[in-house]
Amino acid sequence: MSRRIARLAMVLGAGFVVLLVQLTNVGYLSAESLRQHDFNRRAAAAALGQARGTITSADGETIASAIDPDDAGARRLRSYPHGTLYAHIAGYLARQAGAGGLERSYDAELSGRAADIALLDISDLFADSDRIGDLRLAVHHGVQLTARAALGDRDGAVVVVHPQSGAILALWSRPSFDPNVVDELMPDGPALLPGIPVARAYQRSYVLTAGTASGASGETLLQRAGAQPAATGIDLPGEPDAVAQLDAVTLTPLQLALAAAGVANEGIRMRPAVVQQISARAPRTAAAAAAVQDVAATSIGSLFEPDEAASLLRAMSVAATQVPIRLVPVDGVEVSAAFAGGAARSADNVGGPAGSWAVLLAPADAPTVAVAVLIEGDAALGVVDPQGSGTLATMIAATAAEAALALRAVPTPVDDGP
Amino acid sequence: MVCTTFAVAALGAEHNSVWGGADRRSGAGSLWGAVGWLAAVVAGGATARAAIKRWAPNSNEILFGIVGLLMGIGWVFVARVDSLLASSQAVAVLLGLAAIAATLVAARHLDWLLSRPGACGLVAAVLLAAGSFSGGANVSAGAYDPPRQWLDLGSLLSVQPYGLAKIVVVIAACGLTATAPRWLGPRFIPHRHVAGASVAAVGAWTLLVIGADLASSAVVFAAAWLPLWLDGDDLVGSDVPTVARSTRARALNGVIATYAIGVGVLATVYDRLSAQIRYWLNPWIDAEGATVVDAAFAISDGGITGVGPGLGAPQHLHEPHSDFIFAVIAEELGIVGAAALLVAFMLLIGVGADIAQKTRGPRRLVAAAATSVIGLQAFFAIAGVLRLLPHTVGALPFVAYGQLAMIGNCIAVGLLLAISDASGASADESGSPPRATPSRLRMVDPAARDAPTGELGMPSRRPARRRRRTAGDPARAEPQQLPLGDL
Repeated sequence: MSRRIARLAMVLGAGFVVLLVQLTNVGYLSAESLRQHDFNRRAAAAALGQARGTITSADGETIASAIDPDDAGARRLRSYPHGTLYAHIAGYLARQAGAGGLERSYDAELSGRAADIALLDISDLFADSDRIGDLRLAVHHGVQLTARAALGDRDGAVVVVHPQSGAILALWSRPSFDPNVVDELMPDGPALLPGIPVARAYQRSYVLTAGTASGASGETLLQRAGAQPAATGIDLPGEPDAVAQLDAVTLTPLQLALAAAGVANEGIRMRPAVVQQISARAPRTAAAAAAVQDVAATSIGSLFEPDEAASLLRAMSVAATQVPIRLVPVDGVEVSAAFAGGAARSADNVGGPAGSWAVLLAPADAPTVAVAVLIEGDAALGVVDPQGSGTLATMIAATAAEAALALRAVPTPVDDGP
Repeated sequence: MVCTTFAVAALGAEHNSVWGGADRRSGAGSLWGAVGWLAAVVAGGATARAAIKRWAPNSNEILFGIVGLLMGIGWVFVARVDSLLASSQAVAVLLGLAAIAATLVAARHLDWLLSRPGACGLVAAVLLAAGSFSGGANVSAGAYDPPRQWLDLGSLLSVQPYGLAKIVVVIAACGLTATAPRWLGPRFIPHRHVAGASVAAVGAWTLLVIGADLASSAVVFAAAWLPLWLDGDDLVGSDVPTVARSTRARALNGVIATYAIGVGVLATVYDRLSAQIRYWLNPWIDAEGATVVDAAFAISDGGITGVGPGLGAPQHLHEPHSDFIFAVIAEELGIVGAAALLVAFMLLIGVGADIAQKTRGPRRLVAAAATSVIGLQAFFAIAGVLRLLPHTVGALPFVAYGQLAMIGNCIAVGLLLAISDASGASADESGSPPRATPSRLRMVDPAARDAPTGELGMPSRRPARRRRRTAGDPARAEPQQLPLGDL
């Protein structure tokens, strides 16, 4: 026996054990995050020539649909009838660019790989089902259109949330892109992202300060929201784990909207959800969809004590009387609002021109709509608001809130209760 | 052995059913071509098995089984990734099997080779130079360009001279421990172990500068360094003074440290190397790092049980038939299949070490070093794919595409088989069970080692140089090795 040979063999063997550990890490432990990674084009490639579900808005508008995979002339995989309007929600699926947005985070459901869709009854255990999944969103086409029109040609974001469920009624951010031509925007694949701007509403963060109009209530709102800068858990990919707090409170527009929604919901923030319902159907059939899953409302923790939330809501209602807005009456009944607003600067460019932010809750006594608006400072468009009066942002928020209130039947998903 | 052939056939059949079913792009012609080449591979395996039974009847039973399994899996996956390579990888397997058989016959002249370390070293240097300079075409292609080191000799025969060079380096280094050439005689360079290791370090640095490949440089250095380090444990004889041995070990450790520092310095100053290290530490920065990132995506798609043979997407990988064949296997067979491959390599190392332990003399060094070189090569190849180490050339032994690399590794296997055959035969002759022999020797060794053979700093005249079981020519006077205590 040679001890050195034995030692050598042991060291080499140990090296292979380390390889085994790393293999398990790559192939199992971190597999999910790798599958969701920006650079991963495999989902898109796998979708080539396969049936795929559609994405529709809450009021039945088609947002993304499949192009017949047998159509050999088709250069695209998916059709997005509304172009830029839903680019930051539905995302994109293309040969070169890969997948983004819901096309990526709900890839398993859309393609029918998810167990909920593939296994509806016992016989599915023995035969391959070719079912696909459809997504029905909480987003209302009308509200989304209004949000886009209200923001106009200014860069920024509008988020409309139902405070009691976390359902996202509208999520618009500008600049956007056309998912139909995403391959031409990034011909070299997602590794190089020249044409795709970062989604403003839930990825980019802004340094916020409370304006004079909202006073102490705006200050309190921002401070509490800034104390919990963790990801909201929205069902879209790419949300940062936590927003780094700069000199002042730094938040994404979505986090701002959720903080406002927390005020309206006795201090409790609900997990924001873009998708409301997932249903299964056989491909090439229009209907016969069996609903397999309603997205349940879940709490992501409380931001305020209930009595604190109530007093903050009262203070914000008072602040709303200081700003020149008046909501359109619903069914002849006056609608009062609660308001906070101030100045905002992009966290990437703190020295840049100041834009403004505003949150609006309506109706003021028992809010069913929470709106957050953020406008980026832009001297060329005349959007410069260093004092944070936030008038423009407040007007846009009011328009979006009116559109949401006009729905009257705001969707109430299955409420597990906090 | 039978189960090896069966495994190859089963995998091949599975593969063909996949071809006939899912992948309709490959026409019937290439399907029948693949079946033909599969038959050739299986027949070659059976023939090689017969050759081993004939020329090395007492050789280790397990070794060829493992190697055959690896070759079979390798052929199936190379052919699956690129059906055009099915023929040329089949040629590689057949050449490798022929190399095993030829090595069994030629191994009786191993002592003759071992007595000419200088010539072997020269051959190795020529092979490495051929490989390194043929890879020069890639230099202009970009900062991060995985070096190739392929010598292109037509479509059916493209070779990696480096794959063959490793085993020649092993023989040269093992020879150096036993016999020194005249120019390394006691008068000029007394400490030939250290001298040999130093020459190897300089050679490996040169290889690194020309080829910009960390793994092959490290493997070539290890091929030279390991036999020198292993020599003088307790395998050459109890006559080696303890002090000298430990001093020599210190000197050899110094050489390996110097080599490592040199590699570190080169990696910081040399652009192509520092790029490799940069993309290893953070492959997400841009598309250049995508080779390892794509491998990670492939392995993560595979999950625990894999997507199934033939159902993966190797078209997303760079060089899936050579550098990233492990990622293809991990994607299609999952962690389970890839772990089986790792276990096969671990078994190979264990069997090789066992063969080394059961023999003595320079052949023991050859067996141990050949095993380690294969194991190290496999480790570097897989670690590069899994991003445990920077990804460099890293052709997976027996599995990845490449003919001369296959021949080189098969020569190592042939040597191991021949060595195990010799020790198996002698164990049979002595009538004692093979395991008893070394253990009895071990009982004697400590006492002999403790005997006052030489005192510290005293130039002890050493008696008979070494006992060699397989001594070839007793008349050949070996140069006396000076004590190394004065290092």
